[in-house]
Amino acid sequence: MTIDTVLEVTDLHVAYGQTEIVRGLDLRIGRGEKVGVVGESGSGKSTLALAVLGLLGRGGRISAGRVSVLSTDIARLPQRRLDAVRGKDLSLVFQDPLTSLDPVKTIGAQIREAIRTHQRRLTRSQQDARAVELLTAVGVAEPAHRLGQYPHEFSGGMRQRVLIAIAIANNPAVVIADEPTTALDVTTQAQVMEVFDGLVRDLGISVVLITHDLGVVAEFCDRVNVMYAGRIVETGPTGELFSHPAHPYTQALLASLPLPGRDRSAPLRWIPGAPPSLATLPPGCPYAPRCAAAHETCRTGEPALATVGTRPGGHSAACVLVDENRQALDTEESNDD
Amino acid sequence: MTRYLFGRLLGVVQTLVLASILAFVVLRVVPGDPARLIAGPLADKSTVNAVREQLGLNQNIVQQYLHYITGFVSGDWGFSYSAGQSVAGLFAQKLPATLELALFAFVIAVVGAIVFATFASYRPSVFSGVSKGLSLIGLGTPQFWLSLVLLLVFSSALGVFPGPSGRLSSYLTPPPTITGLYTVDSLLTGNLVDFSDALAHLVLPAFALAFLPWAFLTRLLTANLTESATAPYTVVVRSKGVSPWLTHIRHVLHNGLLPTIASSGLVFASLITGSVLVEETFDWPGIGQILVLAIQRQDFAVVQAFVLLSAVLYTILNLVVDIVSGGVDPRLRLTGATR
Repeated sequence: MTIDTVLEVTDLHVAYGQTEIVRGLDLRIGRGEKVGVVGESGSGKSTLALAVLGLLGRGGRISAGRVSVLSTDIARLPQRRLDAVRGKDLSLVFQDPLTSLDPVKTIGAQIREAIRTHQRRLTRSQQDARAVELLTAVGVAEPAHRLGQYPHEFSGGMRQRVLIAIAIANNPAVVIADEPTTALDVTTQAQVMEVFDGLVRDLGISVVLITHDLGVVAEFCDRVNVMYAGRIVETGPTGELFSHPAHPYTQALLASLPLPGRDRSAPLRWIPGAPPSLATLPPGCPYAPRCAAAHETCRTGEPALATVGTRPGGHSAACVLVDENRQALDTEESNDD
Repeated sequence: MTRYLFGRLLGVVQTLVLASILAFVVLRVVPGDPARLIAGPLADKSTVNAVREQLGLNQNIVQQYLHYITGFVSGDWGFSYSAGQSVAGLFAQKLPATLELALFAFVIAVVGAIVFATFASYRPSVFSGVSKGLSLIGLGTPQFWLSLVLLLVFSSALGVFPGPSGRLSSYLTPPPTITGLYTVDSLLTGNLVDFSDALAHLVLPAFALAFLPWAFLTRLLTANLTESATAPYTVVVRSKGVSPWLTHIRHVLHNGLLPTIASSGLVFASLITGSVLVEETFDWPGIGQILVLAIQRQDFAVVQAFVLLSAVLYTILNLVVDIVSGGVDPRLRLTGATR
């Protein structure tokens, strides 16, 4: 792992009781990188966010794997040392801004709490000054006045900005944003994503964007990871992956997007069936039951990620078709020789 | 805040008027003739009529009500023939004992509930079983039975607390009346002998009275705390790097307490109006005893005053609860905040 890798997840397994929700996941985030994790509900993407922060809650645990933040493996850290990393090197922006702020504390108190947990020497007025600075950075007007207000006096978009301010209070290396725009209307979504862009551009913070919204990913991310049934089934640079999706699941996801200019008389494409239950996963590729291209080999072994195409940038997919295509490509190339 | 308070006060007055009408009408509808009861079964008709006129019972019910309510507001609550003194004097004499008992029981119940619920929601695997079991027992235990068991164990068998002998040992002189609460008055006058004796007399009845509301509040508070312990804002606080215990105290407890504040006002009122059985068992000279006596003797002036006072108490405590809630929960302060 080079110094420019800020977060590296290696072969992560997360289980609730006997059920594995995340089944061997690798992820690498470079400094200042904007990485997307895309998947349907139930694909394990929110569990991934909580696991990386060590906040799985009752019954959940990391059963195997490493989560390295700036070269420290935090998956095995004791509680106290984990608290020292959370909110300092690594922080979270949560899904629902309406319920993510404590309703009975002022915005100022909640931002100061994030600051003084890791910077104990700061005086109250220094904390306030820093809080004003943070609110300004995320685009909240009249920050000094708003510090004394309560969450219910803020709109949804403004609350999400406050949550981002809390997340960046200690200049973390990585911010994990779990569906940060899902609860917001479209114009506010764009403004909030602009704030995230600013974090990367001005502060050099890396952002992991977890979402089901392919449109937001296409706009924002440098790299995309497609998640299905607790694993990453395809990963690559955003442009490359959107223009040449290799995994049938990614292809189906992109085909089901209602893009402007499409033939409105034709019905919108959709993926038949539902994501598999992780408690009773069938053998073989978990997408096989819904896959139009599935054949016999798909039901025997689960394919690993394999490189797609010949362009650099690390585009790979976990599908037997990729292997076959490449073998075909290889034989073509050897025939050319 | 002023408008909020004004609105609440208007509601209080409205509730009290309705409660007083209800109490008045119900007692007039009950069969039986108070004039006949007072005059005695052997009195002749003219004597009964004289008593009726003296009580104002020959007027129509609206006049009677107006007469009664103006009297009540100016402190004339009627005459209790079962106690042989004015109702107002009777309450002034007995109410402090009940208040002292209820106050101690309330503190025990609330502090106990906060402690148990906090631990039960913080480490459910270890504490919630104990807390749940104890509170179920509390909800199902009759107060008079618990009083007797406490007396048998701690007074008769172990001898650590005095028996059912009222508020103070008979050889001691009560402290001069300042608040009417023996523990407070003895402390204010520096009489430590009285203080420790009054406190020892308070412990058993207060515990007996507190057990049921403690159980109720513990269950309620545990449910509320468990809910806010899993709320998204709690996860966000943890993601800042705040330790689990600090998160629990600062955020979970604050949010989880809000619904409990609303119920605790009613709990306190019920402690004052519902201490009859415990007072009887411990020979505690409070309101409960005179109420039982008054009902047995059909002494309606006392019962009516008690019903009205209870209504006053409940509405005042509800007002206090509203004010406290407004102080603790910013969402309830309708100050017309600007966005």
